[in-house]
Amino acid sequence: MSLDFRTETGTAKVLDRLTFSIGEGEVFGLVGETGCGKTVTALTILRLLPKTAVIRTGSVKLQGEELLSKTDAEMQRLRGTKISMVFQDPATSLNPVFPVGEQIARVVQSHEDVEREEAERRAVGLFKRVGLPDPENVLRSYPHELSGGMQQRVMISMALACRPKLLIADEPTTAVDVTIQAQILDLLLELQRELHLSVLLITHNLGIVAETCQRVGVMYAGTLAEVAPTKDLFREPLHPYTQRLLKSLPRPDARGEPLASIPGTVPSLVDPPTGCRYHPRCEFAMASCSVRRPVLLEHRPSHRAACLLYEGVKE
Amino acid sequence: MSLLRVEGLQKLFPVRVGFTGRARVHAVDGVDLEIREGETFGLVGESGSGKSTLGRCILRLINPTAGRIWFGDLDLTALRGEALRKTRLQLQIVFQNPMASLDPRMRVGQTIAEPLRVHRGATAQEARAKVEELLRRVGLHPEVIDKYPQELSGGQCQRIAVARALALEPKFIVLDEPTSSLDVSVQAQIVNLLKELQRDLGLTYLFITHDLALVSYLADRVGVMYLGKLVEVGGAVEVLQHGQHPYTLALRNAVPLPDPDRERSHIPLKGEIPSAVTPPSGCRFRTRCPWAQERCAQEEPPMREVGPTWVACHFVEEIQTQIQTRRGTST
Repeated sequence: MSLDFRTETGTAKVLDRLTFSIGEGEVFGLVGETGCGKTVTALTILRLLPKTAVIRTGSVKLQGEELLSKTDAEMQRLRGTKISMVFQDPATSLNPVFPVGEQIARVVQSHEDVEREEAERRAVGLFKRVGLPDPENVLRSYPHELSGGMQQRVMISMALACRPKLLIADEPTTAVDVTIQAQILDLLLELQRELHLSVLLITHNLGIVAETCQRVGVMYAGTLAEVAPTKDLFREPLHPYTQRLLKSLPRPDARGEPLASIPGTVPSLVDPPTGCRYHPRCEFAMASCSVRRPVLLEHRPSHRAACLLYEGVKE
Repeated sequence: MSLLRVEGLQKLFPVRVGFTGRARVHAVDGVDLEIREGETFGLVGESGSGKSTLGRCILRLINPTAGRIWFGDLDLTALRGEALRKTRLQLQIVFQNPMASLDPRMRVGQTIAEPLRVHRGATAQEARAKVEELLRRVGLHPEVIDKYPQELSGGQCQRIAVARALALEPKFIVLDEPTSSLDVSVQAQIVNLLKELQRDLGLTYLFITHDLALVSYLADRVGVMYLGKLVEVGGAVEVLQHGQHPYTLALRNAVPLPDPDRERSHIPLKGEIPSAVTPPSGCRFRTRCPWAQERCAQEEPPMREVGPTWVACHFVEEIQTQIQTRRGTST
């Protein structure tokens, strides 16, 4: 997938030859810092991109079916029943003027030919399943009457209402506290196992990745730097960016030593560096890094990285 | 030696309940705390625990309802007018979101020079020289002096907020979640800067955060807050790795670590943080505590020294024994 955004200052090359796959029943994590293209990737899969986005080349396949060639009406039917999404901030994703029960019932009724009563019964069952206390009461509550944690539980039950295959969770716990975060993540994993869901978990928190994902992709400035099974990524990160990122995390055993940081700032995507987009900040950069664009290749079993260091390129 | 001592600090905020009812939010409710000269005291807790309110009370940005705050031998809560203004120069704060705490209509130079002009009566020229020095000090090129905050990155803005806090050469700085709006690689830069400044200038920090990993990396001592109360205080390593209060244990357990091999022992906390308008009687944590007993509802647990830390829990010894035996049988 390569994708541009038209902006006032020029064409931003927001995604550049992004390639990854998510297995059935797998939790795949996508990590990276602000502006690296994680959320755009999710919106591309759902075909919810803004009008300023232009797909240069690419393909998104769900169970072998190409999504980019679907009509809008076909996509509409897919969203909710095959793919659904849980957003970062439940307070702004729920409609403030309708009770949450009504919002779920509408989701169900727009996909399935059921009576309102049946749809509400389904909502109560879902609320029970996601651990909301007193589900009948929650059904008639407005979003502002619920806490952040409860709102996110409502969002999750809404996303799962029509039994999708793929759930995209975009920073689902950034808006809640750590003890609630632990509850929500436990719930997501429980549901994932129970319903054999595939999950694309987008986060900037490497701790969350380590505890929830089977495989993970590390994004940098619109490119995938590395894709690996989670354990391998933390044990032996290949890409210099991943290595630095992991070293910059504060740990109690590093007390007294300065933290590793990455010099400079994230490049502009309107005028990204040539060759490898990370090369101006990379401690191992070679002359060829500014010319040749590295390809995401398998350098260890199931462990892919886009870096010339592993392509046998020397100065 | 203690630089700052907080005694029985309480802050209640009045709120309306319904149309006519009045009630009070117990934001901070009876906190005792000592911060030693040259140390970093980490204050951790979730939203609504009262950690920011405590920080702001210390600077008298809000006035406490009750209690005293001693800065050396000065009682900050008793100071008024000119005396307060003078003393405050030694206490500064860096806020969470630099984009919101820097005036978007002031250039970087003006922002940092303002305290110098107001308090030191610096001329434009003197101020400019000092501002350039401060910018270099926080790792920025002096050419940013004529820029507006919105032309800079979040990390650069936070450096400017730090430079502004340093302008009057304070002794004590409250750092209120200074890196929580930044990406980890930028956070690392700011944390390194703060440590360097502390070493070079002999600063004392109150570091407020919800990030346990960060606080375990940089704090010397740590206090854990829950619903307006301190529940555990002690050395950073002691509290964060061998903490004993059930809430400290739960918090530690809930934080995801970047270590895929860690086995999370699940003690999931029940429910959510209760309302601070009508906090639970006795121990405030009892409604979510897996070990709560009747006594916890009747009697508020006092802070007492238990092994390596100070803990406010009636049953901490029993809980520790239970955990030890459980661990013994599982291995």
